[in-house]
Amino acid sequence: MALMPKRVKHRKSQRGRIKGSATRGNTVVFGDYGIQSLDAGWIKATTIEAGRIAAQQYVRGEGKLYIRIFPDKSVTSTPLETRMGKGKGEPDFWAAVVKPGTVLYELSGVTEQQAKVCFARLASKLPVKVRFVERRTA
Amino acid sequence: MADVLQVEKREQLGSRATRRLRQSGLVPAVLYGHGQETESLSVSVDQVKALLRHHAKTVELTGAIKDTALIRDMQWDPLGIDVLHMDLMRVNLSEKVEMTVAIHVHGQAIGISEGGVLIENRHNVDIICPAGAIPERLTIHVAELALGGTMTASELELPEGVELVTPGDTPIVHVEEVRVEEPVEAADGETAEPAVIAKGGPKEDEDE
Repeated sequence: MALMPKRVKHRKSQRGRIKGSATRGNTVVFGDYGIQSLDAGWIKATTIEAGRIAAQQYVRGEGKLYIRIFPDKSVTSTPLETRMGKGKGEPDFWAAVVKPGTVLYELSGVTEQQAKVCFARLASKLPVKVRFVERRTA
Repeated sequence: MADVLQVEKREQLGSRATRRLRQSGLVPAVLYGHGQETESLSVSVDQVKALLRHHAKTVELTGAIKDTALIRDMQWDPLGIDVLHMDLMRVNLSEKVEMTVAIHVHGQAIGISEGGVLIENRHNVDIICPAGAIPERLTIHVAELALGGTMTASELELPEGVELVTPGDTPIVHVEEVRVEEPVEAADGETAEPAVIAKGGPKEDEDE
């Protein structure tokens, strides 16, 4: 099964508007290094999974990857060549809503150089601009 | 030795004045503690960056106020690039203070060569120590850590005069087996929809 919620209150959601920067989930918490979004946008469940595979193929057997975002927004679409009306379309995919500052993935158990290379591979899969971040020391 | 921080008193307060202050390359700060008057201060951004580079915990204030202070808190912008505000607390270097200190993992665990991966359960611990002798970080030696093993806070190397506040049995690092996650299958049609929480009851059917 693709990444998506187990249970939801409503099958369909309105599109919404992404305003401001992330005030939560904007620091590296679990790992040593992270990848932080600089743009706002939706990241599809399939994209999150593609990023995970790209990163894990690189760090296989060494580090641990943490995914900090979850696709909890359903996005609907109407089929092609459909006339206007007839209500809202059916859920097409699931997406995570990302604000500038959101930490998307984290990595631990690898060197800084390895983490940079790994996240560079991962960043090429993502639809948002990102930057490399380190955990802030106490 | 504590870093020296040149401070100026801040006369104009409020968000507009503070915003202008930041635009002019200064960082607003506040000094409090020891039952004395709270002072609003400003510090240059370059000095704050130097404090961060040095991992400074205590500072010697000069300029408008001469005192010793502990860096209690720092506020960052949402992207974590700029420091927005700094909290300073008056201290005597001999008085005991409670601080959060980073943990430094030293050595290569045996468990890694056995095919495991080292996981840090905690990245910092709380300690009580004299303000003048706050360690930059506490070291834990993991060379003997085997696959499946765990090291706790009580195994941290504590300098003289430092007491641990975090419970001693708190796990700090462990080595676990590498778990290779299988790629998730693509969603296929109607079976790939989550259950809908029905209104007014525990029913979890999605039919509408």
